[in-house]
Amino acid sequence: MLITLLIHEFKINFRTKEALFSMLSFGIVLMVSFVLSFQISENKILFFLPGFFWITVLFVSVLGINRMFSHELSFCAITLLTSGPVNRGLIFFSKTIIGTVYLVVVEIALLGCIWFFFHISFFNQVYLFFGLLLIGNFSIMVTSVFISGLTLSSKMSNVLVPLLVFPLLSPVIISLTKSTLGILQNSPFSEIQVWVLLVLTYFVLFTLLGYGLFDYLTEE
Amino acid sequence: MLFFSNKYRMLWFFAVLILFLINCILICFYTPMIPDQHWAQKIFYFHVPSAWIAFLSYFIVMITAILFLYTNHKHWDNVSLAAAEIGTLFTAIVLITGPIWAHPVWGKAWSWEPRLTTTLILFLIYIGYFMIRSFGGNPEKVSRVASVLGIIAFVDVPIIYFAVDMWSSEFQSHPPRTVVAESSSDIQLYFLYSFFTFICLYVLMLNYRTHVIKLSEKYQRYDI
Repeated sequence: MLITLLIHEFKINFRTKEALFSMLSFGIVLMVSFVLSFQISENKILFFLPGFFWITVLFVSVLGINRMFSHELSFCAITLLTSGPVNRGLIFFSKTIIGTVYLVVVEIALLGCIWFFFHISFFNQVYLFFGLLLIGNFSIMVTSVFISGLTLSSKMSNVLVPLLVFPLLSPVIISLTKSTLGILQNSPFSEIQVWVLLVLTYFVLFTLLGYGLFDYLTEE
Repeated sequence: MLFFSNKYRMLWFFAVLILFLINCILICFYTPMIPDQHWAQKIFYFHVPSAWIAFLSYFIVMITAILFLYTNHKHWDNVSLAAAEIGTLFTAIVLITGPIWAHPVWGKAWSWEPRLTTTLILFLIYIGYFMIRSFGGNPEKVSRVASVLGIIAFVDVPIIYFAVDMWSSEFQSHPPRTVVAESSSDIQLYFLYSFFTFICLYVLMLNYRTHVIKLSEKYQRYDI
């Protein structure tokens, strides 16, 4: 069933490519705007880059999630989907997985830009870095999809999603920024493990909560 | 029925009033003065209990939200909303009294240190909670959605509590968690008394607010 839902999600998003392209272009523009507006010298950029990077990812995820749910809303597709004999927790998972795949694509583009413009290497602790990226993306997407489901029937869902997602995800963004900086500085794992554990806790907690409570959110 | 037409509630109200007056007198004239902080330190007898009450209130929001989702009984949703409102009021008190103390002691009213920042984040999450309550659409669905949000918003409370341990000391301005336990027995006693007073006030406020929410709902139903 999950595979079917994933194919469904992929098809409706790939048909217009709207979500992916808007996320990609918005991410690059935002990243460049951040760096330009702060005017930071090259030797100090390392300290600011993790923050810029994760804030950009956060903004991009909210934009992407809005685009992904707008299709469902405009044709009342979500009502049809939830009225079928489908485990609603799996709908939540399928949206999260597709959103994470999109975020990974955007991040690859962003990391390429960072490498090209600032000559910063991410290969100091490559497994740790990409592992963190994956858990970070999942945590951000799990929370964003959950909140989008929460505000689905609201008249002001476009405003409410960022209003709830940004404060709820701020502990994750702080942790991801701290651990990314630690990895870029080649710090030992013991120095960043508390932050990685916080992200993991968030990921596990919101995945379980999302799976368990998505049913109540989509109930008519 | 009016809330204070019940004589026990009226008695409770006067008891809280007297307890609070005694609390203010104790704090002003009897609590020991800390030499380098003078009068600014006295605000902690309000600030710390307010923070504890806010956390307790958010815990009640979470429990009643679970009960509402489980039983679908409207009473739990009313208690949840009342607890969220009071919790946010006490969080606002914490965010106001903190800078009043910080201005003379730290030399600035606000510092982006972990506990303060995470408390502000909790406050902002609950602003979102009230926006969902106001603009959510269908009332039945709003109750369900707000309950779910009430459960997940509690995630921030342990982060605030352990913030002083998680971040390294260079970022910290708040005292460690054990500061009350390590203080003199005099200070502990006054703290406990103040906390007891705040608990009594909280129980009264929660009952009152739940009663008002229930009444307003009843009037809306009959379109009065």
